[in-house]
Amino acid sequence: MTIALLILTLLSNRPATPCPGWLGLGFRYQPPAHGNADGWIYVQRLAPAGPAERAGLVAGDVISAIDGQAIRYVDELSLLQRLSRFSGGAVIHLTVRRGTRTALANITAATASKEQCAAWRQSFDMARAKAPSR
Amino acid sequence: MRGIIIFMLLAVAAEAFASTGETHIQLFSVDKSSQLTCRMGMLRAVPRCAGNACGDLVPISTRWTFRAGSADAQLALRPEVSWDVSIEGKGCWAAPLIIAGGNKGETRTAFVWRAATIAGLFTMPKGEKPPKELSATVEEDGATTRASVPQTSLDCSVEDTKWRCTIPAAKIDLRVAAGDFVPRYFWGLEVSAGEKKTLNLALTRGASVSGRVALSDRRAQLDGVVVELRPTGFAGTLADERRIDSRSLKSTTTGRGFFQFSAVDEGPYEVVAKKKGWSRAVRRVRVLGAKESDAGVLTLPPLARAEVIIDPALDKKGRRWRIVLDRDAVPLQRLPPLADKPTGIDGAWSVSGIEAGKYRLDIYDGDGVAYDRLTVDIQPNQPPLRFHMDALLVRGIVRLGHEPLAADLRFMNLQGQGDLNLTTDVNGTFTGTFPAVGRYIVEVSPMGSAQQLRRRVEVLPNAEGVVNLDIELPGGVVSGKVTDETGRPVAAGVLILPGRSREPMSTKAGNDGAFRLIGVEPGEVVLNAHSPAGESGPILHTVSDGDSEPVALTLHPQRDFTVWVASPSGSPVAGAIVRLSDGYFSREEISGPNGDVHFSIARGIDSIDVIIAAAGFPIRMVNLPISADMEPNPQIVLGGASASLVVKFGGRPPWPGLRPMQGNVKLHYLYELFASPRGGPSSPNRTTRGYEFELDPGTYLLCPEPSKCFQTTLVPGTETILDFTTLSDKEPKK
Repeated sequence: MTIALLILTLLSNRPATPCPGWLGLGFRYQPPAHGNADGWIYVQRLAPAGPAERAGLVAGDVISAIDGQAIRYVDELSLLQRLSRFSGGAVIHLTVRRGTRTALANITAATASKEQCAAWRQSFDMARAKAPSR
Repeated sequence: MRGIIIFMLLAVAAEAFASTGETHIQLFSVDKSSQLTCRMGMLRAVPRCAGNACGDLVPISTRWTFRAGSADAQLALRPEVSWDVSIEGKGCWAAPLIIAGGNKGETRTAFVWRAATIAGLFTMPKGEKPPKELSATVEEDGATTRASVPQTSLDCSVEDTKWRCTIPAAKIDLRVAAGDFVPRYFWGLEVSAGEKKTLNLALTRGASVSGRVALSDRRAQLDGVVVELRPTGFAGTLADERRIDSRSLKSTTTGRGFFQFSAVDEGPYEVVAKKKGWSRAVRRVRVLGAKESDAGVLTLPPLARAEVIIDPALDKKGRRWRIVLDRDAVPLQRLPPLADKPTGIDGAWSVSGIEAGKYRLDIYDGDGVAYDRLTVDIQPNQPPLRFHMDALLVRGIVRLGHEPLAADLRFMNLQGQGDLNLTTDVNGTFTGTFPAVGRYIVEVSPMGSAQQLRRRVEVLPNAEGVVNLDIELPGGVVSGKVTDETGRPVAAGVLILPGRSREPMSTKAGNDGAFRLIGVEPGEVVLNAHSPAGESGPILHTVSDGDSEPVALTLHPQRDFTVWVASPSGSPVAGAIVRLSDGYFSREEISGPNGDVHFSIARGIDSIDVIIAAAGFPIRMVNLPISADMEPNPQIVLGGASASLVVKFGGRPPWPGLRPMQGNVKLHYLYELFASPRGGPSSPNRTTRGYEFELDPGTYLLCPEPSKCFQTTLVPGTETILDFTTLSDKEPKK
């Protein structure tokens, strides 16, 4: 299980380009493993009043699908690359498990500030360092 | 003489009157208008006894008639028993009287209101049957100043979905309860005499919370009070706080201070009553399914004034002290302190208009060094808090075993921010000026080593006012080699537990499998090596002073398991924090969307403890036997009922632990039950009351320290508070 302890921002494959939309979401990613075809995201913390929190996500939620698609990325880096496609203003539809219940949350990505962009790059670099070389 | 005769005559007359046993009932009409109804009626007295206990006592009745707004009636009530006296009359309503036993002809008064009627229909949730009974309680609304309707149960009739009650024609607060449905309240209800008001009752299932707010000064106006019902627990982040906000219910009180919340989910809550210009009052309630929880009376104290006097009035360099007053809670977001200002030239400092309660108080000198940091309880009209400030010269030596140690030292003040960085010389000696006596953590970084050793030290001056602080580090060394089952060296992480009451230490074995740790306490330790290739499992080892025999740690392949976490109804529980422990080392996983948790354990371990903390469920502690023929994917069903446990303790070792009496679960420290991931936000289980948990009900062994244990039974729906701060040979205070 990989860990993203920083308040995570969305990313792009090319860090030099402007940052993608900001979600305000800190998470651990569990890639598909142990016979499970799907991975999932454990919401560890949320930026106060950030897009994810405004969408109703709470710490402890488990995200099982993004835009109706199961999460099947091999590692955190691949997940971040997928998320980087959402720019500021984009709406992301998440399927969320909270205890025994399932809910849908629609997050509207915000435009990343300079600090958020820097934090995202840091998260991206950490994920890239942890990912096996391809 | 004449006076004595008159006194005797009066005494005889009084004796004669009492012997008649006649109770004098005076009735007063509340309605002074020239009423056509409620002019006369009956008084009926029924003895409060049953069967043979009543002997020859029978109900008694007599007539009454209003003349000029009042009526008198006599009842010959025998004093052996108490009597219920009902006041009846067409178009009248009055609260019944109780005449206590031993009555020898007393006079009682009662007010009679003209009656009104409330009636209507029940509407129930689909598939529900209408209740067969309706109980209603009436009480005068606080806004009126006339004769007060006492709290009285009403006579109501129910027929299928229709109901009807007779009430006084006054402004009243009405509580209507039907079967197990949520009680309904009607505040300030007013129905004119002889009128019938239709109130259809939409009955709902679920729980409710009601109570009353009062002000400590009864003369003050009880208006503008806001009451909030907030779910407790799991508020470790600002997001949790906002979630709690979104689940919180708000209400205002009636003129008499009553409030009610209906359709409340089960669980523990805080009722918070607030009014501008007053301190808040907080009460905890536990809401159970389909029941009304009574929060009781929440009395708001007035605002308080914090006053501090510091001696000496100025710091060592003749500058004023600075005092910061802040909230006594881990802030979820950065907020400015409540007060941050220098003391006066006389060392006095104050701030007014703050809510009564606990606060954090920091005192700084002119250089910004914290001299004191403590929690204070500020209450109205209390005397000033007095502090004596001093600076201390500290000198000492650091030894590793018997040898002096050259090291960098970092002293962290546990009661303030006065952290100090010092360095020892080649003889291991150091000197420095400390801001305050008290407890510090010292982090020792030996020169030329990446290892860090932490110790707690107490800074206390001797008779000369000097602090001699010798830091003795254990001289034990643990070294060894990690290999796989074929004997090949493996680069692996190595954990060492130097006994249950000490912090774990860790190091890494290099590619040659070799590892070495200094500063280990001689005695029994437990080691565990782990790498992707496998795990050694817990290995016991004895450490002596100085170098001891090298340890060989062999990594064994691991066996994979999947545990399924489910609710009582069998639904998978996602996002549960699952901790697995072999009794020495533990790891943590999170359950996935299907409630599944995957883990691996080294061959040779015969059982593992599983602790599951999931939001909305009691913490479950079970022991999972590991055997070749076991169910490879066991399911753990979380409980429905829960019991609260609050443990107060000193906040330092020995750490309290517990285990359920049933099953073979080992003793676990309380912090292993925290419902937040390690490395994540601070735990919501750590509150100002101590450690708070919702646990499976049952009998537990609780140990303030490993050698001092006792049993306690946690009953569903109750709260058990244990105080470990004052340890004795007896059981802790409950």
